[in-house]
Order: sequence, then C-alpha cells, then structure tokens
Amino acid sequence: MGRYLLRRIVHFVPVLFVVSLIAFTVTLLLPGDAALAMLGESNIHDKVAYEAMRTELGLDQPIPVQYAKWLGRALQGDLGRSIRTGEPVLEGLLARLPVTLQLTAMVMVLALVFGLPLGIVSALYPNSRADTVTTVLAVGGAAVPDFWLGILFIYFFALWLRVVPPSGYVPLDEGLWPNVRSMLLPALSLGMYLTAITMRQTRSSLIEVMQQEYVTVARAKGLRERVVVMRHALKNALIPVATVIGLQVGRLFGGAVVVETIFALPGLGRVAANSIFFRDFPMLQGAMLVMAVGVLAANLLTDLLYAFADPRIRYT
Amino acid sequence: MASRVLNRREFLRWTGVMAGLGTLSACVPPASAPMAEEAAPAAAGGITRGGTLVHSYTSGLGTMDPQLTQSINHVFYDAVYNGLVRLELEDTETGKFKIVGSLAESWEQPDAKTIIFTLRQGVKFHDGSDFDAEVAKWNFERQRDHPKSQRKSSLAFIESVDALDSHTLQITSAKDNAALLSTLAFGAAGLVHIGSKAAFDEMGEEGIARHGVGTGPFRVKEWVTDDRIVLERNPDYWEMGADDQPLPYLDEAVLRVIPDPTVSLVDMRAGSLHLMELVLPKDVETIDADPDLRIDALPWAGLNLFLVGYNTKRPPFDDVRVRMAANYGIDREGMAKALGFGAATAHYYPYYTEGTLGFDPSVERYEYNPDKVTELLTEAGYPDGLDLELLVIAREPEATIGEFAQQMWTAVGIRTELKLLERVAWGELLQSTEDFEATFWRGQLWPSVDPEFARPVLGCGATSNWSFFCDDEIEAALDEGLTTSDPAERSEIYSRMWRVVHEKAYVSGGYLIPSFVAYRQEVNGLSYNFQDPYLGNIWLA
Repeated sequence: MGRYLLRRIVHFVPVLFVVSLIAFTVTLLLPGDAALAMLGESNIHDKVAYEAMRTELGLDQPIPVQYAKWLGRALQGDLGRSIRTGEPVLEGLLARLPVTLQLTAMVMVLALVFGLPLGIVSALYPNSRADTVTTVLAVGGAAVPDFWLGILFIYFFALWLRVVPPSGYVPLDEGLWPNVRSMLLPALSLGMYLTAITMRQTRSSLIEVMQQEYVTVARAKGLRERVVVMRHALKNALIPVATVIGLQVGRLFGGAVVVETIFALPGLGRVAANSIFFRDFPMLQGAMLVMAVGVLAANLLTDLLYAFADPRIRYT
Repeated sequence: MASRVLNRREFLRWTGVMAGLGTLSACVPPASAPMAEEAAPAAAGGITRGGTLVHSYTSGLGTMDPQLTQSINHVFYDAVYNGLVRLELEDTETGKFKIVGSLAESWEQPDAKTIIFTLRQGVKFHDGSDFDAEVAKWNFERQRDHPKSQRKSSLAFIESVDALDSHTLQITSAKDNAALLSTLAFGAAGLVHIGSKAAFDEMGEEGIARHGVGTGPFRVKEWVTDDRIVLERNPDYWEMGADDQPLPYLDEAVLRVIPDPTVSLVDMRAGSLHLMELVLPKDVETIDADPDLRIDALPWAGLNLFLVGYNTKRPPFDDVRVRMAANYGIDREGMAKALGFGAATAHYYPYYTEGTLGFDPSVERYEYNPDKVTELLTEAGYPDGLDLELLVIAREPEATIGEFAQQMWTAVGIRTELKLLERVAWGELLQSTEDFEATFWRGQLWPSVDPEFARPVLGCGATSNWSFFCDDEIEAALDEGLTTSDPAERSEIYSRMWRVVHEKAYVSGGYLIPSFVAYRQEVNGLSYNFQDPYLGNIWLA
C-alpha cells in the first residue's frame, strides 16, 4: 500500500509539470497583458509607463526564460506575488483553499447523503412511483444550472425563510454552526448536479448488480433482502459510483468559480475568476496548480476507496 | 487489510451516519439571518454612538494605497484617509458641491499660479506619526510622478510643491490656473489622499498596499482579500461630531465584497447589510416599496452615462458628416425607455449638461432623424449606407446596450456588427488608433465640476480621448479657460468649446441613469463626498 501510494505520488510530478506548462501558456493566450492591467485605463496611452511596467514584471524577456524563472521559483515554494493585490500568491491561495475544500467536501457529503439512498430506493423499486419521482429530481438536478439555483435558493431560504445568511463566509473559528450555515446554500447549489449524478449512477449500477448470479445465490441461501442488498450487491455497485464522484472533483472546482462569486465566498474559484479578469497571472497560475493537485489527490483517493468497497482489490 | 483505518462495513456505516447528520441538520430550527450589530445606546443630541455598519462593494480592492488605486469607488479611501480639502455634496439632484477644508484649515491664492494651504496641526496618522507639510508634499509628488498613478495627467499641471514650514504647503502651477482649487479638490476627499510616509518608509510600497495608514476617521483592522475589509474607529480622529465628541460615531465598519448586486439587495432586505451602491435600476421599485429601506438617486453620478466614441483617425468616422449621421441615428428616448427601467433619461451631450459652466441650451440637439441620417450619409459618399464594427466590452449592461445600438443603427442604414471583447482586451485595442471604428463605454457626468476636468477626455492625445481627435479650437479653449479668471469670460470660452464638441460630433451622449445608493432605515446621517457615501458621519438607530 505504501509503495503504491509513493508510486502514485511520483506520477504526480510529470502531470504537474504538464499542468504548469499549460497554466503558463494559457496566460499567454489571453488578450491583454498584466502590464496594461496594472497601469489601468487612465494610463492606456502612456507607452513609456507601459514598457517600464513590462520590464518590471519581466514580460520583456523571452517566453522560455519567463517560464524557467517562474518554474524555478515555484519549485522552491515561491509562486510570486499577486500583481493586483501584492500579497504572496502561495499565502493568498492557502488562505482561500479551506473555503473551497470545505465547499467541495460538503457537496460530496450531500451527494452521498441524498444521492446514495435515493439511488438505492430507485434501483430496488424500478419503475415505481418512488423511482419516477427520484428520476425527475435527478434529471432536474442535473439540468438546472447552479448559478440559477443559487439565486433561487438565496431568495427562498435567506429572504423568505431567513434560515441562512444570503451570502458571505463565516470562518470556522467563529463557530461550527455559523460556519456550516454560511456554506449550506452554496453547497446545495453546487451539489445538486453531483447528487443527481450519484443518484442515477447508484441506480443503474445497483440494478445491474442485482441481476448478477451471486445475488440470486444469496437470495437462494435464504438471506433477507436487506442483507442481500447492503452486504452483497451495494458494495460492488459502489465502485462505479466512487469513480463518477472522483471524476467530478474537477467539475466542482469549475463550478466553484460561479457559486463562490454568487455567494461572495473568498475561495479558490473566486480568486481564479478575479485573476483572469485583472490579468493577475501569478495568482492564476498558482490557482491552476493548486486545483490540479486537488484533482490528482481526489483521483488517488477514489482509487484507494475501491479497496474499501471491494475486498478483491489490493494495492501493492 | 489490518492496516486499514476503516473497513468496508464501517465505511458504509459512516455513510449512514452522515445521512443521519444531514437529516438532523435539516431539522435544526430556523435561526434569524445575522443582523449587523446593533448600536449601543449612548444618545446625545439624538445621535447614537457605537455599532457596526456593513457596506457592500461589487469588486474588491486591489490595493489600499490611495495613490495607486484604479478603483473609482472612494468609500474606503475616504474612510481611512483625508485630503487637504474635500467636496461636500450640497444637492443630490444637481451634484452641486462646496469645497470644504479637511487636512487644510484654510487656503489663499496669492496669484493665478499659486495656492498656499495652512494645514491642520496636531493631526496624527493611524501609526502615530505626525501629519505635516513635508508628508503632504511627499504625497502630492508621489501621486503626480508614480508610473502607476491614475491621476498623473490630472496633476501634471503642478510645477512644484513646497513645504514653507511644518504646517504651510505651497503648490505652484506651471501656468495660470483659474481652476486650481477645484482641480485639487476634485475627487471625493480631495484629489490626493494623504498617507503616512513613516508607514511607507517602514513597510515599503508593498506594505502600504496591504495595510493603509491614513489620518481618516477609521483605521484598518483586517483585510481578507476579495471578501471584506474591517475598519475600526480611529479614537484620535481630529474632527468633531454633532455631539461634540470626536467622529466617527460608529465603532466599526465592514466593507464586504458581494459581486452580485442582486445578492447584495437580498442581504440588505434580510438585515445583514446596511448600505449598498450600484443598485440596479430594475431593483429601484422593490427598494421603494420596502418600508425598511431607503434609496438616494444621484442623477449626475456614477458610471451611468452611455457614450459613443468614433475613431476620427480612419474612415468612415474621419468625416464629420458620418459622425453627425450616427448621432442623428441614435434614438435616445427609445434607449432610455427600453434600457432604463423607468429611471433613465435621454441625454444629448457628451460629458456636459445643464449646470456645466458654458452650457448653452440654444445649441440644436441631435434628435433622432432617419431622413437626416440618409441625407448625411449620401452626402458623405455612402448612399447605400455603411458597415460599422462597434467595439463593446463583453459585460453587462454594455452587451445589452450594444445589441440595442446594433438594431437602432442598422435600421437607419448604419449596418452594425458588434465586436464583443473582454475589458482588458478592449483597452488593449483602444491603444491602437487603427484597429477599430467606434466603441462605446459608460462614462461620468460632472455637471458642477469645472470644465477643466474635460481635459483628459477632450485634450489632444489625452489618456481618455478614445476618439483620438486633436482639435485646435478645443485645445485653445481649454488653455484659455484655464488661464482666465473672470467667470463670465470663462463661461463664454467653455460655451464655445462645448459647441465645437457638439458640432464636430466627436463623441455622442445617449442616455443617463442615476447612480443609486440604497440603505436600511436605521442608517442615519448619510452624507456624500461628491458621489461616494461617507462613513464618517453615519450613526445607527
């Protein structure tokens, strides 16, 4: 297990290298440059100031040199300073990371808490009224965009019912419940899609497993249906579900850009969006790297979870 | 398997527990939305001291350094810093203001080039350092000379800044300048916000960008980038309140970043926000109908004036007849009606309006006239109309306005294609005089500000002259207006200038939407430093 983990982590290196190349190249493809963004619209025609700013930011150097310097510093843990706010990039990203991690975790929990049981019910009673209802919910959840849901939830839960604050983030050190309350609506908005996918995946996976011969054998042995489902069928059905959830982490980071903006959460998604808007390339590159690490870690965790669901899977 | 922390059964059980927790959390009784902190009762003269005001921004600050900021919102800077003078708004309807002393107690103008400020003594910065003439001089020079300063061109007229003694500052203009004081005063709390030089020496430019140190009524307590800035009362503030105690009345002010104004409004209706700017016109009716909320309309303020600039350096808009045709093709009344949610009015002039020095109501306006468009285009050599590419910033409301403009102009023979560009890319394209035909943007209207402020938009080669014209008559009028002190003569000069701007049709006005500021009914004493809410006089009750 240890060796497997180590090998997987070593595999991260070339992937991150490619991500760093992409992160760097993408910023070059964006129209406008950081020097212009820094100088502002009032100095748009000031060529002297513009050239001076390009020199100050190192943008006048050849692109490979810019990349090599950036990578060299990044390897030493220095991702530079934000062009817009002047804060060290790593410090800024680490400050925002918990918000996005918590949001992602809560979305996952929601998906498991609601998606899994509803998917099981749906699979056990296919074409029943319960199945129809959960299917409609799932299709709706997957189809409705999260930004629209977000606004809807704000009106309903925050303005009419007044059970949660409309926007903003309450840090954990100000209390667990205030913190969770501030994240409920964003997690619900972002989590609807994942919950729906989990529900549908659990349903189809479980229906397929329930038709396997070993399930028939289990029933023939006289086991109770609950035991057949929970002990024999579900654990096998969970593997594709875990895969789907693991693959959705990247999408969640993408969705966080929108949801964090609507709910005014100071997370990674918001910083990535602002960095694009203000051409804050060091911050954008850093955010992309951190998100890439997040996706890699989620995939690794998914692989490890397989072993929990299926005893035949061993990692050596 | 022995090394595992969880086995399969435990994993499944854990899932079940989480499901239970989820259900439990759904059953927790509703709690009220977090209300902004109530003010402590300490009434004197009807004023209540204490409490925390929560205010929202749509876009977070990039820097706390007032001299390098690109933000046009001055609420934070006015709260943390002072200028030598400030513009106190007297009339929200017309934008009429008066210049009052702030860090300067008084001033005199011995000649048309010189102004001497007598500075307030005993004022300390939040870091304990003293404010004096040397610090003021350093601030002015930094604002004028720093490459990232957004007001370089506005302050380029200053030839020298001299500290005559510790509390006397002399500013000398290179040329006679009839608008010297208003030029220095314009821009909320004075054109130059005074920051602590000691803080700069200690923390450097990066340091003061992250932690602003001024002399203002509030000092910085916490800044969570793109989330909130927490300001606390400056206990040593020099200005006295109506209750004869030092301002401000509030204990704290929280400036939250809420990017979506719709969400801000919900926050305010729910009681977790006291004050918001950039209210969308569509929300005005909702706010009016809510007994807990108030709204102020500043018809002349904000970035709500629709302007079109024509590239005069290349065809077709190097021909004044084509520019005039485009002007006659703008259905301003229709635009105001369709896009303004009942709050907009048609606006026929760029940059100026009634109340602007030199405004001449007798000048014939460009009323919507399709026949005139055809006539002028034919005269200019475009009998079959022309094709136009209109550069638009890809954001709202610009994109919607662009679509309206497209339909409006295409209907009169100016077949318009939109080129939507992200903001920075749009700015980059405007650097080149070759790559676009026309563009539009949202601009400001300053009815009671001296016309000298039109220099950055009308001057030859000026930073915001996005039509790239260089007009000798306008240049002459700007220079003459600046060096003439007689008000009647100045009015005549600027009247001439506005007429040229209008007749040459370099820039078109479209329609005007007031800037709206909404606040909860418990907010008292709200005043404006020119166009920005000022937190220093607010009290909650």
